Amino acid sequence: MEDYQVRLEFFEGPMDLLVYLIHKNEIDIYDIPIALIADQYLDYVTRIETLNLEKAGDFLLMAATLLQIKSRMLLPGPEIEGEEFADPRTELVEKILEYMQFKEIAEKMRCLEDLSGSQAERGFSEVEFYRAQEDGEPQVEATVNELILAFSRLLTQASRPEPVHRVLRERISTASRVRQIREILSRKRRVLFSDLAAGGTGRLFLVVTLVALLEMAKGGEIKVEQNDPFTEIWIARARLKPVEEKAGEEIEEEGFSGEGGKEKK
Amino acid sequence: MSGFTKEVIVEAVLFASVEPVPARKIALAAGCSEEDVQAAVVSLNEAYEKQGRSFRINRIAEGFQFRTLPEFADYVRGLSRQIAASRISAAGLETLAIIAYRQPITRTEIEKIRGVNVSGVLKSLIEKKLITITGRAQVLGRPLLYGTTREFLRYFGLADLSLLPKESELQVILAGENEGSGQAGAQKRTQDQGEEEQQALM
Repeated sequence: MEDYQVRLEFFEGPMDLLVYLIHKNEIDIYDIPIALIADQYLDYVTRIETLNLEKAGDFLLMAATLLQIKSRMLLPGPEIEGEEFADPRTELVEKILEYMQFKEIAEKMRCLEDLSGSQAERGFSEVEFYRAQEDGEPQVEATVNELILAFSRLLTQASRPEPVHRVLRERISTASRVRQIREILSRKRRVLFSDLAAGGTGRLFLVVTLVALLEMAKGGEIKVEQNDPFTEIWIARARLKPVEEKAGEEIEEEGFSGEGGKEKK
Repeated sequence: MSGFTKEVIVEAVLFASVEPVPARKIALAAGCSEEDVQAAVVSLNEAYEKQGRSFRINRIAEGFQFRTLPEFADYVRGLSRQIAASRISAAGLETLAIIAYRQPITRTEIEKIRGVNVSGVLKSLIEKKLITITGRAQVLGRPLLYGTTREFLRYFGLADLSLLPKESELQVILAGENEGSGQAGAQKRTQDQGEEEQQALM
């Protein structure tokens, strides 16, 4: 019983646990003592429930299945002429066998992975994997995709309900955010995207920041960089001088002269 | 054509490639038949072995590719920019195994086998380009179908899917471990399934 304490976090899911119980009790998989298994399984589930209710939920369906099989084994079925009594365990056994089979296959694939990894190809793939150099200089040019992914992560965080306090809605336009970012970049050659995002609160601020960055990237004013894929994103200055500021609230399309156009705000 | 042997021309074409190249393309570039290409590869590999060279021409992802021998792993690992640390997680491997054998397959079907949620794993495998969406199932809700990619073959150093470990081989191992009265029926059904799988993979 104490076994469980050690392995509590190790079971990925119900199948994992079942297989463990089968091995532990040295059960013949073609003749599973359902009562025993169901009891041990339930015992385990109750334990994880005290630790982590959410995780226990994954295991509930199997618990119910086991109990159902157990009860069907106990109750004699109606005697039907010419029909054999179907073993209620059959489906479960097949499921377990299938699962074990794929676990085995996965192990063999691990060997394949190792073997293939020990062989080098000619040249190297430009694509995914770069090692960051010692001085931490960005190696990979991030794409808009990475930026948007990082943004959506931040957005999710920003949406979490905060302890109640008065939030002043800050009115901010894309143009003024661009100016702010430009100003930051004039002092430091580059800045972390997450730092920029932390410069204000609320989703509106994040959205405006993103739009500002996209506009600046489009104008060639900034570069978006990463040391490694899936790490922090840096926003760096790309040009010595920023593009002439266009008049008006919105950032205009290039080519619009702005003369006699909208009022400067 | 100059005085070069077909072999040496095939060698040149392969040398110039980084990715695995299908025989068809080599034949086109080298100006010979696909059979010639096959023969050339065999004889080149024989020569390399005789000369004690550090590389061979492997059959990868339905094509041919130069690869160093496993013995040289330590030497080349430092130079190659591929990070060794990017091994697939156990969960990822299991999910990959299921997809490789049962493709095309939906997320729900995968989860039925694994017994856990696989959304995160699927996302990661897609990002690594080892699996892709191959279509939609013709059932209610039209869920997405997943299958392995060419990159999958390349990553595992496989020529094609038929070289994955055979399901039926594994059946024998399981049966041996658990000798008992039990359900002959259950055993037989999964065995048949295994054979079907084998046919499908060929």
